[in-house]
Parts: sequence; structure tokens; C-alpha cells
Amino acid sequence: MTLPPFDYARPASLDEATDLLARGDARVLAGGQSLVPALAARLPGGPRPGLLVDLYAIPGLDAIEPLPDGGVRIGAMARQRTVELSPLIAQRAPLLAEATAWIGHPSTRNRGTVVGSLAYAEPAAEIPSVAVALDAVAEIAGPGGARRTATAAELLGASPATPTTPAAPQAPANPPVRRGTALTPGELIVALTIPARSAAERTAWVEHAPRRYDLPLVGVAAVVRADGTARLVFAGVGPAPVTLQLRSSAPLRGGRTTGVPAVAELRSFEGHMDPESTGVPAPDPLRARIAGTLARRALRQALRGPARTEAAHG
Amino acid sequence: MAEPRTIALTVDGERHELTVEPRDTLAEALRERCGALGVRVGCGEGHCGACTVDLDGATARSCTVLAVQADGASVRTVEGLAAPDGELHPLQQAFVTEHALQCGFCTAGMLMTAEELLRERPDADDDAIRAALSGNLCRCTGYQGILRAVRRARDEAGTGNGQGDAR
Repeated sequence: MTLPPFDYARPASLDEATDLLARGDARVLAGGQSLVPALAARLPGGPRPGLLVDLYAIPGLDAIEPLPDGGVRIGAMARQRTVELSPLIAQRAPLLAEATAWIGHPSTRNRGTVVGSLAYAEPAAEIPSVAVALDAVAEIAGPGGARRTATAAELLGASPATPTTPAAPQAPANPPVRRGTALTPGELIVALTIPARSAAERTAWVEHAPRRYDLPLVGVAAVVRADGTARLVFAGVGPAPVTLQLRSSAPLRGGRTTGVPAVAELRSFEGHMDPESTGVPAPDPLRARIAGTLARRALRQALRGPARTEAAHG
Repeated sequence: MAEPRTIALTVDGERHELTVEPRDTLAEALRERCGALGVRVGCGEGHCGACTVDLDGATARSCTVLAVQADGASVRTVEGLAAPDGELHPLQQAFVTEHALQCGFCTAGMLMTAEELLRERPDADDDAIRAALSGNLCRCTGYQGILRAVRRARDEAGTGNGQGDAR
């Protein structure tokens, strides 16, 4: 329906933006693909900003740039579509390119931003979990020229999974409630930096949505390292991404894995891969079950795929 | 700052200057102020895709864009697809041929989405077509005619390029 009324500003600099955001009821407008629909829906408890601060006119915020150490820096206004198709991202952070392709639809990715998706912190969204999986660091600007950094994990309140017994039967639960990030009033994320990844690392993103291409119910990012350890990050099983560290009983074979990895190789990941439970706390048995299935699928896909340095861009 | 402000934008080649409130969406501005009634508002919340337009060269759901964000922009709507003499765009013709519409409410959004797809990927396969159109909802047709129409437009564009003389 018609949006509720609000003020609108289009600052020309970061300092102007942070000054405006220090007003308690102000919110950043980047791509608007989460915020504007939320305003239109007028859901109880939804956003009611008094002021939208549009970042569009601040120069340089849309840059995607290589870093000397082999990492990549993604500006606040870099569109999801640009990141999805970027050869630089395909080379340095293929997991991000892979997951971004699953966000929404082409017309929403044309407008939506990667940093905005992180800042909105929708529990089941792709970017927050991928940012945690890739050890991403946010550059944050605050009022009065303040600058700081924080890891995506800190900002989102990502937490490690704790071992659980198989979930007791219970009614299907409502989705996890979005709780936002640890940004303080007046702060905005200027850029997201993904540090250099190991050349031998293999990654995959898998998600399940009851309606394909819609917001996922559960998503999993898998990062498999040459030393036989793996990190899984789950979206949709809690308000914030949930991480799981796994260890294989033996280092991975060198070179590319052809065909489906041996079942033994999957089973060799000790930890919470009990068939009845992933050990991932979830709101309900359905999400726990899906999380377990997707975890196996993500590991299999990561193991089957090329090492990062071979990943083709498309 | 909640007071109305004046913006200027080009819509299907025509320049418009209008005064809007910050909360007015581009969809509303296009329909009510620029005469582009071909822009449909379905859900008004960015889910259905009926309001899809081309904004500065890329599709956008105009109900998720504030009019003030489009200040200085160039917008193309479904009304700009056909040639000035009225000749239908190949996609529009394909939609007619394949009976890809019933009530027609989703059609403008479908056409704008399909146009971008075929422009970016003239060789898009069926999976790519389905993926690209997955955000445009249709209550009438069951989608098969729409998919056939996009495939037809894709194939006819391919046939038209460089093979005419060989036949």
C-alpha cells in the first residue's frame, strides 16, 4: 500500500550522511529492495523511519576493488547484480558470486546491494551467512568522522552451533525474528572487505526455498580447506548465522575431485553429522532436517568443484 | 524535508517535471503523473513483478523505487516497446502468437523482464528463461504460453541474424 510518510535526504558525503543518521529515526536507503517493500507492507513492528538517507550521491561507494593482499573490497552501493557478474569476485571470492545469484530476481539484484543485505540482516538471507563464511570485515563510518571496523560475525552476532540431541517433536515454528546488526545510531557500513582466500579452498552455497528463487527457508555456505577442515554457516536456523566447524579424518586429496566424492569422505567429517541431527539448533524439526540435508549437499558440491583458482566466471 | 520536491525524468523518451513527496513510489509517479498507465501495480511490495520497468538501462520494480530516487533518470516502460509507427516489438508479437496473456495484468512486467533477459543473453536456455521470469507472477495463464512466447522471440531473433540469405 502507500508508504508511510518520511523525510528524505541525499547527502553528498559520508560525513553528511552520518550526521543525518545520528537523528534517531533515520535509516540508510541503498538499494531499497528490503526496506521499501517493508515500508509498503506496513507490518506491525516493521520499520517506521522518520528520515531516509539515500547514499546514491556519495561518490565512490559503488566500487569493487582488488586489494594488494589478494582480497577484495565491496563498496556500500555495489549492486548485487554487479557483484554476481564480476570477474574479480569470481576469482577472489567465488562463494559470494555463487550465493548472490540466488538472491531475489534479476530486477531486485539490479537495485539491491550486497552491503545492504548484510546490514538488513534478514535471518534466512544469503549474504550475511556468506560474509561470515568468508571472514568478511565491515568498514564502518560514524558521526564526527569516526571510523572503525568489525567482522561480519561480530556485527551479526553469529554463533557456533552447540551439540543437540535430535529435536523433539514440536509444531512447526515461525521463522527466526530479524534483530538487525550491532551498528550504533549514526553508523553506516561503507564497504565490506573479504580477505584473501587460500588457493586450495573449495566452496559452495546451497539453499532450499519452498518456492525456488524466493527467500530461502534454510541456506548453507560450505568452505572446505586443504587441511581437511571445513566450516559450514547456516542461514535461517536462527536470528543470526550459525557456524559449524568440521574436521575430516584425513587431508583432502590434492587436485580436483572428479565425480561424487566417496561417501566415506563425507562421513569422515566428524562432529555433528549424525544422520538424525546436524547438531544445528533450529526452530523446528523441519528446518533441522533441511539443514542437515543441505549441509551434506554443500560439502559434496564444494568437494566436487574446482579449487578457487580454477573457478570459471560466468 | 518531508515537503514535496521537484524531480525531472525521461519516460519513454518524453521529459517530465513533477513535484512528489518522498514516499511516492516511481510506479505511482509513472502512472499518475506521467501518463504511463501501462505500468501496473500488483502487490505494491516488490514480489509480483507487475510494475517492472527499465530504469537507466536495467530492470527495476518501480514500486520499490522512490520517485525521488529517479530524479534525472531515464525510464522505459512497456509503452515504449513498440516502434513509433506501432509495429509490435518481437516479444509483444510472440506473446500474441503464443496466447501468453489472458487478463494482461502481469504482461507489462513479463515483457520488460524478458526484454532484458534476451538483450543480455540472446541464447538463454529454458532454465535461464524460467529463472529470469520466476519473479513475475501470473494468476491466469499457468506460464506455459509465456515461456513459449519468450522461446519464440529468442529463436526468431536467432534465425533473423545472418541466416536469411542461406535459406
